[in-house]
Amino acid sequence: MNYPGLWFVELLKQATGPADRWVMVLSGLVLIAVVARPEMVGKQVNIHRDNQLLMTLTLNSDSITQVAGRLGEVKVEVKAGRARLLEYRSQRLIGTRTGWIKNSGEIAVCVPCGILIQNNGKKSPEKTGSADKLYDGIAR
Amino acid sequence: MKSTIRPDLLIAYLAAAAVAAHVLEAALPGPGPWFKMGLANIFTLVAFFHLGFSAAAMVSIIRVVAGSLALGTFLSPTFFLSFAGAAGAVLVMWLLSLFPFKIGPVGVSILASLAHMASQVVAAWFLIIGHDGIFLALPWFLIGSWFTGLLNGLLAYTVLTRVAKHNTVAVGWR
Repeated sequence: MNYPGLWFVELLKQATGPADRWVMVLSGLVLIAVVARPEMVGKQVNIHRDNQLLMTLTLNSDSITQVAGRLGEVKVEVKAGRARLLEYRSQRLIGTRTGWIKNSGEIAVCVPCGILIQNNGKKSPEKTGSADKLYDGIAR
Repeated sequence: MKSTIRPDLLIAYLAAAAVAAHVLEAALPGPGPWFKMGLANIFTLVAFFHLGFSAAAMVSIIRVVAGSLALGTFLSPTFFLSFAGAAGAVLVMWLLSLFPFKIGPVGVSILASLAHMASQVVAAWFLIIGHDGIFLALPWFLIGSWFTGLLNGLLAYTVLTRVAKHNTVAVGWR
């Protein structure tokens, strides 16, 4: 019985040797692994004002941080491993409308405020662990 | 089976065909920037399997330069992206030509296509965008490249097989 598309399989069989098939399978698996890897989600967000780094927040714990923008106070909210920029004084609210950012390299920016937040793609240091790691306020 | 065409003439023919495919493809609508079928690479593959790495590199360089001159993009950012992609693909072909095991047009095409896309995105990051966020899209671009590499490899195999029947070009496995 002739199935539609069978000619493609036949051509693939003719055109490929063992080395080609290994290349197809291995490169395909590597690509799937790269797409599926969870490390694309960064765990830190940088807050910049006028291109100067003000502070770096961890995305491991929820928080609301206020920073002084050109138009007044701007809030940076961190929740469930994501961050967003909240301000309501600029005309178009582009930074606020950007919404939550969580992937490495993503930004939300309010140009009138001069505030930019960017997920820097780095993992936050563990809060507990060996002596060369960060400690919380109680442990040290 | 030996070629009955002088190698320099064959390189010229393949380069001309590659430039034609390059220009034709530029006129066709595509799904987005940096994403094309790369039909011109079929002729680079034919050059690689029939004449070797040097011929493939020549066809590739002629295709990028002559294609950009024809399109009016010579020395523009587009040219440098195209050049970077071709350089990445040619580098992979050179590495594969050193390997002792036999790999066919499909395998070479897939690896060259992946290298082509990766080189282009790195060049775009370095020359134009400068933002690390571009690498978020790279895995998806590479998946597209995997499929275009497969299709181009099959087309190159078909071309090599058909031309071999006319005693003009031999199908080789490197």
